[in-house]
Amino acid sequence: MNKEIVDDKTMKRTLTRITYEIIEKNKGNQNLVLIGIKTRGAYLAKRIKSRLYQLEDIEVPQYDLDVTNFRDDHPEMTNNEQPQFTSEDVNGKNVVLIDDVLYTGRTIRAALDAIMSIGRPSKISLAVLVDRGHRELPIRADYVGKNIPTSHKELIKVSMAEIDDEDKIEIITN
Amino acid sequence: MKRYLILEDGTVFCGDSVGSTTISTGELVVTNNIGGLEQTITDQTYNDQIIVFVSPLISTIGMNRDDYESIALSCKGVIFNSIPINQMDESNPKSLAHFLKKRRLPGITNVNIQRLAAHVKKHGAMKASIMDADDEHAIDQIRALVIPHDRVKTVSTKQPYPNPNVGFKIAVIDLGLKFSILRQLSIRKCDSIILPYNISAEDILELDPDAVLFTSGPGDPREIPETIATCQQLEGKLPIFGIGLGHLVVALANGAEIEQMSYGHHGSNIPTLEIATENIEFSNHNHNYTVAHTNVAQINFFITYRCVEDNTIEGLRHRSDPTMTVQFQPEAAPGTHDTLYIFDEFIEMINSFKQGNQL
Amino acid sequence: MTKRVLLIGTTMGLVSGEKLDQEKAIYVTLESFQQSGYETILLTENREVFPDFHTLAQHVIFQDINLTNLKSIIIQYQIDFIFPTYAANNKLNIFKNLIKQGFLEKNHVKLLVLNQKNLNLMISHKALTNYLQNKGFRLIEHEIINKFDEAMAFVQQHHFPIIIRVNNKEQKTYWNSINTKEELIHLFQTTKASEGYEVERSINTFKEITMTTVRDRFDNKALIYASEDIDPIGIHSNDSISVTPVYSITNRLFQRIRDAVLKLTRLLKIVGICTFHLAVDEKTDSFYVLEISPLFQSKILPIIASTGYPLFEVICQISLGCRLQNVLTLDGSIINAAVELTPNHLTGRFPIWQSPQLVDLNNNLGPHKSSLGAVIVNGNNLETVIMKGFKILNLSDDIFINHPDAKLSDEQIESLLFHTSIRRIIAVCEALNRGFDVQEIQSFTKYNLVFLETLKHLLDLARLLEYKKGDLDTLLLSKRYGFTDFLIAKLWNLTTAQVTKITSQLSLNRLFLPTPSSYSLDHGAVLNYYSSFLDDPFIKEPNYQIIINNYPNSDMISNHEMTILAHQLIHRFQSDGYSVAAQGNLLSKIDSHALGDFYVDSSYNKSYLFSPQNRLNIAINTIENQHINYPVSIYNLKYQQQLLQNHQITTEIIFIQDNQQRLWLSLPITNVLKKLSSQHFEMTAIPSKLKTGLVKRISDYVHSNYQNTKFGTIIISDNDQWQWLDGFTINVGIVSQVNPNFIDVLCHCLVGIATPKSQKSKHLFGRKINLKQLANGLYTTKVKYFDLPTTYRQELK
Repeated sequence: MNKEIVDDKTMKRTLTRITYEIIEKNKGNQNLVLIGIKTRGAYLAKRIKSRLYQLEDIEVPQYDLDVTNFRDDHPEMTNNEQPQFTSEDVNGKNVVLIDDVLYTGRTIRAALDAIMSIGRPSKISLAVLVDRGHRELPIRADYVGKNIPTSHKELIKVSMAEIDDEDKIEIITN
Repeated sequence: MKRYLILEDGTVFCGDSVGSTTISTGELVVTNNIGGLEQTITDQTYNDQIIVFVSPLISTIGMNRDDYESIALSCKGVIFNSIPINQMDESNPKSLAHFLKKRRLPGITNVNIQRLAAHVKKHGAMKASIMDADDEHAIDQIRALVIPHDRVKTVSTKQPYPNPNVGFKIAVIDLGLKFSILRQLSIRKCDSIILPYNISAEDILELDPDAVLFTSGPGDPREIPETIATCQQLEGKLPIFGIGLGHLVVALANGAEIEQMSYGHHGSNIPTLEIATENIEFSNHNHNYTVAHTNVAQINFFITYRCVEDNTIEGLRHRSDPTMTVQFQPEAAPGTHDTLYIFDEFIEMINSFKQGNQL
Repeated sequence: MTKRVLLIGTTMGLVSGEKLDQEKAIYVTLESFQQSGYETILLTENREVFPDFHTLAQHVIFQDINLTNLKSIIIQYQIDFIFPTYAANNKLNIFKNLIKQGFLEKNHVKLLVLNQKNLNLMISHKALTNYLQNKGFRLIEHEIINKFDEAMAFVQQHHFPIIIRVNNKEQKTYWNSINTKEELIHLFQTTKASEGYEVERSINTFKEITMTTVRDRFDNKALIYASEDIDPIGIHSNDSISVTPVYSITNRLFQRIRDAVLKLTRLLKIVGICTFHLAVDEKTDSFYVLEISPLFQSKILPIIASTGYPLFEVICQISLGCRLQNVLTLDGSIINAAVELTPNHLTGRFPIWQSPQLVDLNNNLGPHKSSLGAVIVNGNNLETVIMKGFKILNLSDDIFINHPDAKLSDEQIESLLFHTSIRRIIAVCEALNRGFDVQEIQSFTKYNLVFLETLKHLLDLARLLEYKKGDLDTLLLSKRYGFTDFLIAKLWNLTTAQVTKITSQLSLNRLFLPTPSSYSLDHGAVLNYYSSFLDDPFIKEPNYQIIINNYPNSDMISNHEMTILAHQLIHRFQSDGYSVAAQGNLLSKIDSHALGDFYVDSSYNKSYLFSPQNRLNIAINTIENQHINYPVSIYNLKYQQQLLQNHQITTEIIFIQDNQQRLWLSLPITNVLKKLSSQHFEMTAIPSKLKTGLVKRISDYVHSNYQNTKFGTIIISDNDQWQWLDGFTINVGIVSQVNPNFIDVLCHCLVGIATPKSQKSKHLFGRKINLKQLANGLYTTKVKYFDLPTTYRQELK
């Protein structure tokens, strides 16, 4: 059974709020770099980038990151995609890592590994659209769109207009 | 009975009397509101003003007592394009005519609103008077009238009072409170305390609220330096939300400049652009002053909303402190529900401020 | 490379005001596309288009609008976009098939406005119901039942009235409205249903509200129109008087409905406009979505008269991908079209039924549309709007003076109130006059209560006028509420001129006010003028050299011909440098660009709705020609039919005569009448060759009988009887397509200047009109155009 818990309007607002908070916590925004975890995190990063552009008239560098190669839970899955950014792009920068759902924390760990394997940012913070709990690693998000307490049996599905035709967050129970 | 609306510059408009037959003088404002007549008339922001309704036949269903925005209305008069016949019946307790009579509010109907609106648009806001006769004496009287400089003092509550609930404790600084602000806070379970405009920061902190809200209200914010000082002292210590006049108070507290607009924004259907998303929303505006663009780049704020038509600044957010403001009235009443979410943003701002404090 | 847009035009078949409005809208759209640098290809079935279409569009293709033709045009002209906003509803399946077959994708064509989702919801009511249910909207309570007991259980829960029909997938079945248990028993006794019955709560007493939203590709949206019907649900929205803005529901409920329609607009990814029909019940504070349509409906045309919103330009620009806040209008300005404007006045839309007179009508209004046109009027108060509407519809005399129902008993009046006939309004007024309670009348008619109260106010005023003859206070009130001098004169037994003289002593003045709203649209607004009586200084109207005044007729085809003729005249006079004003209901302005001043209220006193001619008056006041009036009549379809019934075959020739008695003659139009049955006729008109012998005879005829006549039509019947008309017939549209210099010659002859040689090409075609007289007093007309044989065409060229 699918139940829509966040509609397109709320999702849009949530992203706007995260953008505001990013501005508030990064005075000046000079060293900001956005890295979106593929696939939906990447679209989220693009949307935050465009909001920052509208608000502050600055082009914040934004990259996509595929973490498949760095995951510890699916070692059999690999692809040859290399990250889009180089060490110069992240060294000494203030990186905001963006993903759609924060769950066990393993994706984030993989993303951190991927970034650290390339360069050394001065700070990495994490923005997620949904925090559904059940962490298996000591990771917490700096910017949270929605806290949605779930059970292990449930699934959170984030749909985004860019690939899924509409913006929404659903909870799926079997 | 024939009555006259005489403008400060000598222009005369003629129409038929409705409601009280007293003589009255005030600042003329033209509003676009189509519905929500009772909400507009009872809005304290219209203190000492004569409200002109552009649209005809508003509200044929009578005055809805659930929609009052204050108990003691304080506007000076109402000018109508036309009034439906059933609302002219003073004996009907739900009618507009009955309401105006009972509240001793003078009105004129069947006025050439198009000429009046065009005049105000061209020559800017001005003083005007509702009179029984059109003579030279009248204009002298209007010119002699000084618009009071203590409007907030008149409309603000004298005593603090609570609006209890179970959630966040909000200190609501009443500069001309609309009930709908409290309604929106109640929907979000806020435990509000309504405080007079001249309360000190110390007294507010003593109450240990989770956030402070400066409400909308009438007049020029520079007339209430005590409120501005209070705001300055609270900033950074507590999340602050400013609406309407409250927005201007917060801006002044942070060194922004404000300017008077030619005829202001009055209406429940003014297109506002949310800058982050480039999306247009329709919101209820009611202001004659605005934050000037001149030094807004120097103060520590970024612009979150602007008016589509004339680029007026309609919303600000502090770059580091949990402070947000909007010039329009997000509680609507009257008007669309497009911007009600701003109250949710306020709650979210309190939430993340609290989380930040716990770190 | 220039992008090419294929515009889907109007269809042949039923002639209606809706089609004329679509045609006008296409005019604006072609201009707007051209302004934005697109090439346009217009596919249309209608041949009597505005002549300017041929210069505005790259190609005008006269073909049937069907899948095969559409496909071949797309390939032949390498179309990039298809713009379907003015297409007819019955063509929707073509677009559905184009999408389904993947044809659009394959040929890189983008279908604007429509998408699979909104197409489905428009075509299938079931799809709409399912969709709304999924999105959490409230649906009208319904059930499938098999037995009488189940039906009664449903009634127990939802109460009478209900509507019920046999559930049958193969065959279309009709809804029955059930009010009592007896009726239900009867239904179960007389019908058999193997698959059960569909039963639904009747919403026939709810208010019907129409709302239109606009949305761009970037999800900016606004509610641009909302109107309220006088009749309840159950009577087709087009057959009901409607008024904008919405005035009789609470602000709170209005805002909820607004939220809902904007949400649907977003969910359906509308790029363009979307019109919603909603049922509103104030008792339970609930509303239901009945219909969703992203195509243009002429029901929403009062938008323009109400606020000056440049609707057609906005639709065109945002469909192409423009942002709502940056819409380029035809007057060259860029405006913010994301506005919810506040009108300065009220706008009413009054339906028109196609009939030679109102008296014999025996038509019951219901869910099926029977009106074919409408007039739009503006006023400062509801009373004025109603009075202006009554005047045009020729109801004022019956309601205020003749009282045709006066001889009926109270019981008879009461029973008339239950019949949803077109003439019910007269019975309602009679009932109000007799002192029936407004609430009681409302419970019988389900009319909007405020409307009834307003009617009562008007009737009281009329009685007061009669009683207090000559009383200035009452006169003042009645003028303010829209009584004409003509009507007051009748009530006072004076002449209109006498009343006008008395009226001029009042402090009230008749002012012409512009329609756009006072705030927001400083540029790009559509400007019309409406009249209003106000206690305010008089403003003198400008002096116009030419004023064209029109009087709408109930005959749709003659309205169509008249509008196109008038439009061409205005255009011609303007390009010759004259200052032109247009007056009257059919000639209102619909774009921000058109030159000249347009007054939607014309100065006439009586209605020409049921007259055999559609009238147009050209008043010329130049230095050379001072105060000259040329009434131009277009004899309507009924006249043509009677003419042909006497003669079977006629030939018409239009002549124009200048000051030196030089004659211009049109190609003759030959008319044939075929009687298909006693109530069903077919009239064919084809252009033919002007033979030298005929030219001579006509010259002699005109010179000896009509020396000083500027123009007219000569009708020659099969037995060589000659007849002269002081105007034109409904074939004038064919004449102006077949004789490209017709308008030039006519205009120049009227103002007395020479006409240059025309370079325009002839468009030759024939036309069949199918006239069906219905038993209820109405008639319908369907047109069909056909090509002439090639050899015949060569001869004419």
